[in-house]
Amino acid sequence: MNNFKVKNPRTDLRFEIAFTKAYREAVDSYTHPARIEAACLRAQFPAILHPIQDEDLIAGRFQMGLVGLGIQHQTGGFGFYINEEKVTAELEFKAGSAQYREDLHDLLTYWKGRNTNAVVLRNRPEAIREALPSDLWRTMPLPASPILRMAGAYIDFDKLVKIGLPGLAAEVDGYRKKAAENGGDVELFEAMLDVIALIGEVCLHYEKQARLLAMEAKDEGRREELERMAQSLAAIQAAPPKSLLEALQLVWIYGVMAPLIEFGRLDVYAGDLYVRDLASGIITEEGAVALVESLFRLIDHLDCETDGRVIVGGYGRRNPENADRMCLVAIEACRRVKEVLPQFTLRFNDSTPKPVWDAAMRCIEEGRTYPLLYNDEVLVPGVMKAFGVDRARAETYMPLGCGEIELDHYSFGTPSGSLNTLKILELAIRGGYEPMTGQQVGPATKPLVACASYGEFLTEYRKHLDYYVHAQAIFEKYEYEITGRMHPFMMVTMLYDGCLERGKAVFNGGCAFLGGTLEMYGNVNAANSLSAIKRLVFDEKTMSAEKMVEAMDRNFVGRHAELKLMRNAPKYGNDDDYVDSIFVSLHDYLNDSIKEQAPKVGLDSYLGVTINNAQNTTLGRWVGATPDGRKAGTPMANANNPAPGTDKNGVTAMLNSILKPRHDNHAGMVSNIRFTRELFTESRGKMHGLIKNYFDRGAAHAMISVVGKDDLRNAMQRPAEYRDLIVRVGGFSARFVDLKKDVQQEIYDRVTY
Amino acid sequence: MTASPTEGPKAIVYDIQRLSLNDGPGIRTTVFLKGCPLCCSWCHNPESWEQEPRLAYTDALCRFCGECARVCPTGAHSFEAEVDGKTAHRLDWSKCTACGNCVEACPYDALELCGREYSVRELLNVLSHDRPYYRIGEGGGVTLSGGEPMASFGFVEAFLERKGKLHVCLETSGYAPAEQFKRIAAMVDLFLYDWKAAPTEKHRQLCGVGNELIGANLRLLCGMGANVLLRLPLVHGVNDDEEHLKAVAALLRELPQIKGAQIMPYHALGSAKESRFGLAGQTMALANTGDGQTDLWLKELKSFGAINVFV
Repeated sequence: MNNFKVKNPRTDLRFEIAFTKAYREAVDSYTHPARIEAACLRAQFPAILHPIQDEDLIAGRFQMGLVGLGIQHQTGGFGFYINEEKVTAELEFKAGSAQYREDLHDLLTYWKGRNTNAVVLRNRPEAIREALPSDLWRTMPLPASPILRMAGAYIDFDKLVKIGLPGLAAEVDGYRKKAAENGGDVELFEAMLDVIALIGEVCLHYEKQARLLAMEAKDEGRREELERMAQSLAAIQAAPPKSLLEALQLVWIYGVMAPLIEFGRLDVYAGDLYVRDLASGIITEEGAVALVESLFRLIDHLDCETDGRVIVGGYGRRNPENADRMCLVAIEACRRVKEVLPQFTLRFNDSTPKPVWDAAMRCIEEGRTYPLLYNDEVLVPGVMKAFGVDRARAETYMPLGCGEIELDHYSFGTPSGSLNTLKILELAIRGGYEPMTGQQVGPATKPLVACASYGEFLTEYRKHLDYYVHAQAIFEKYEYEITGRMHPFMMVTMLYDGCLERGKAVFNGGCAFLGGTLEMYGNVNAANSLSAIKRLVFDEKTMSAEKMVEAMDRNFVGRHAELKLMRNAPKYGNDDDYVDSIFVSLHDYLNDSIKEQAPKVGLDSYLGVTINNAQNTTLGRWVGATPDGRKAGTPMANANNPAPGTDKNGVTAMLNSILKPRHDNHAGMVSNIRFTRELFTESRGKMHGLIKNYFDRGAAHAMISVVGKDDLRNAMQRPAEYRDLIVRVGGFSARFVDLKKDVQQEIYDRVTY
Repeated sequence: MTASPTEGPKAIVYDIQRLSLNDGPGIRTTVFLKGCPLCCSWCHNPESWEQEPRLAYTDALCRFCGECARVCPTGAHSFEAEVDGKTAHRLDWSKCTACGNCVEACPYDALELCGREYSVRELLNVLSHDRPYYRIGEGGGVTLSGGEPMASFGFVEAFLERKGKLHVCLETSGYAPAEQFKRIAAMVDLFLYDWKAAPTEKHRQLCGVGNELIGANLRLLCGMGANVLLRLPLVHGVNDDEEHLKAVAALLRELPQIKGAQIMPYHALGSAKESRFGLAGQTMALANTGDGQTDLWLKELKSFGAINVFV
C-alpha cells in the first residue's frame, strides 16, 4: 500500500478494482476528458477517505490507491496511474478469491498501456528518444531522465477562502453560461460544477462522521471539538469560510481531493480570519496554534517525502499585519509538530518583524530544520530577471518541492526532468562512451586524452551538456501538451489565474505562464572533477589524461598515488577561487543554456534548479569513479554544498564558497548548513549574527540543521561525511570527527532533545 | 620558529579554527601556534607542546591501503591481519620522524602533519577569508593561541606590526620574558591571560614552572594599561582548591583593571586526542567537569570577593 499515515490502511485492492471499472464506464459514456475526470474523482471520493482520528481538529485523511487519478508521483502517481510493482506483489504474496485475482490480472493488463506515464513516454517526440531513452533513473545509468509528473500546483487558496465553494460554483456557472452563449467548452464547466458538488459531498461525509463521533465521545473536550468540526464542515458547504477553522477545513478538503502537496501562503489566506476570530473571542492564540498543528499533522500524513510546503512571510502579501500575526502562530505550530512535513518555509526580507525572525530562529535552534529560509532581497530581483516578470509578480514567488521556484497560482514550473552532470562528464571524458554499459551515447566528441587544452575539453563537455539540456526542454514542452490533451486537472484549473476566463484547462491553454524546471545533480562533483583535470592534466601536468582515465576505469584499485593527487586537487567549499570559479562558471553555463531553451521550444520559462533530495545518492550510484577522487557509485554532493568530506577549511570558508553563485538565472538553488545545538544555546547572539551576515552577503536560501543525537551517531559511523561538523566540547568547539570514539560517545550521550 | 631573509619570521601553526566563538569577542579565527614552555597536566592540546610538526593519525579514516608503509623510511607503519579477518594498521610512534612521506601518500586523509610553517604574510592571507565574519555583532577578529604563542615571539611581534586594524587577542600562559610583553602590550587588543594555580610550588607541580614570572607579567601588563581578561582553567580536585580560588579573588581585587575572569571548565578532549598523536598517557585522564560544578566554583569565587567572574 502507499505510505499514507492512516490508522487502518486498506488491506486489499478492492478500491483499485472499482476505480478501474468506473474508469472503463466513464470512457464508454463520455468523450470529454473533464467528464471522465469528474467520474474518476467520484470513484475516488469518498472511497479513499479514512476516518477522522482522535488527534484531528480538522477532518480529512486519505490514502491514494495503487491505481487512481493524481497529479504527481508523491501522491500515488501522475494522471491515471498504476503502481505495477505493488499490484504484482499483491498477486504474488496475498490470497484472494478467484474473482479477485482475475480482477487484479485484468487491472494490470488494462492499465499497462493506458496509464498516463506510459502514454506520455510512448508518444515522446522521435528527436529526443535517443537522448532520453527511459525514465528509470533509479535503476539505470542515465545522463538525463524525464520525471513524469505535473508537480508544484500552487492554487489560489486565498480566493478559495474568500469566495468559498458557493462563490466558486457561482463563478464557474457564470462562465458556463458565457460558454454556452459563445460556443465555448460548456462541458468543461459542467464537469467543474460536478466536481464542486463532489467537494460539498465530501464535506457532508465528514460532517456526518464528526457528528456521530461527537455523540460517541466520552470526553467533554473532544465532543466540543468534534461538534465544532461538524459545524465548520456544514458551514463551508453553504458559505465562504467565516472563521480560521472553516478556512483551514476548506483548504484541506480541497487540497486532499486535488490531490495537492503544496499548501500556499498560509499566513495570507488564514491571517484575516484568525485576527477576526481573536477579536471576537471565538479563538485564543493557543487555540489557533492547535488548529494549525492539526493541519500540519494532516500534511505530514501525506508522507510524500518532498513537497508538503507551507509558506509564510515575505513581500507581496495583501494583509501583512494580519499575516505576520498568523505567521507567529504557524511557526509555533511548526515548532510543536516534530514531523518531517510540512516543509515549513519562511520568506523574509528587511521588513520582516523581529518577533517573526526570532521565533523562526528559536524553531531552528531546537533542531526542527524548519523554517527553511528564503531571502526576498536576493530572490525577488533574481526571479524578476530569471522569469522575466515585473516586481509585483516576482514578489509572489513560491518555493515548491525540494526548492524549485514558481509564481503563486500563476506560473507552472513542474520539474519534469533531471540532468546528471557528473554522469555527463564521465561520458565526455570518454568521448561519449559509457563505461558501465559499453555503449556509445550522445554526441561523439573528442575524448579527454585527445584534447590539447582544458578549454578544448570544456568545449567538448559542453556539447554533451547542450545535447541533454535541449532534449529535456523539448520533453518539458511536449509533456505539457500531451498532458493538456489528456488531463484537465479541474481542481487546479479552477484556481489557477486566467483558466476560467479563457475557458481552458490549466495545461490546455489555460495557464498564463507555462514554465518548467530542470533538476541538476552532480554540478559540484563535476566542478571538482574539472578542477582536477585542469590542475593535474593541463596546468601542472602531473598526471596524463591516460593515467587519469585508467585510474578511474580501475576505480583507483592499485592507483593510490593517482587517487591522492585527484583528491588533493582544489575542491568547492574551501573558498578557493581556482575551483569555486569553475563551479560558478559551470553553474552559469548550465543555467544560461537551460534558460535559452524556453523560446526555442515555446515555453514561457525554462530554468535550472539545484535542489535537495536523495537523487544525489541515487544518481551517484550509476556514475563510475570521477576525476575528483570520488569512487564509483558513491553519493554526489547535495545541492549547493561541498562534496562530503571535501571542505576542510571550516564553516566560514564553506559559507564563502556557497555565497559565490548568482541567483538571477535559475529557479532555485538550495544550501544546507549544519550546526550542533550547543553552538546556539551557548552563543546565540553570535550564531544569529552569523546567519544574518550570510544573508546580508547575498545568500538566497538556507536550510539550517541543528544537529542532535541521530546526526552525531551517523557522524561516528561515517566520519568522512561529517568533517565539517563542529561541536562544543567543554569550553570550546572542535571538529567532531577529530574526537576519540569515547569522547564522541560522551558528547552523543550528552545531547538531549 | 625560523627566520627567512625575505619573508620575515615564521612559525609552526598546527590548527586554524574558524568560527571560534569562545576565544574573545565576536566571531574569531583562532590560530594555534606550536611550542609551549609549560606542560600542564590537564592540557587539551598536548600535540602543541613541542615546536616541531608531528604526525596525526585518524584510524576511522584508514582504508588499509598500505601506501604509508610503502613510503615510510623508518618502518613506523605496519599492517597485520587480525583473527576476525580485519586488518590492523599499527603505528610505531617511536620510529616516526614526522618526515611527512606517509601524509603525502595517504589518499584518505587518515594521516596528517600537525603543524606547518607560516610566514606572517601567508597567515594574513589565510585570515583575509574570514574578514566578513569579524564585522558580526560586537566585532570579532583573530586570537593567537597555542601552545604558547609567546614561544614564537618574533613571529607574534611581526604579525602584530603588520595586522593593521585587525582585532587581535593573545591567549597566553604569561610565561615569557617581561621585555617581550612590554614590546607587544600596546598592539594586542585583548590578552586572554591564564591563571592556573597557586601557590607557585603547586603551579610548578601541575604546569612544570612556577608562577612568579606569570604574576609579574600580569601586573606589568595591567600597569601598562593593557586590556586583560583572566582565564581560569579549573579541574575539579586538581586546582580548584580554596587557596587558589582565594588567590584569584585577591588578584582581581588587587588589579581592578582586569576586565573579568572567565572560568574554563576542564574537558577530557586532551586525553582523547592523545592517541591520534601517539601521546597516550601524557596528560591526566579525568572525567569532564560535572554538571553544576561550574556554578559551585562561581559561587565560591564570589564568596571570596571575586568580581566579574563568568563562564
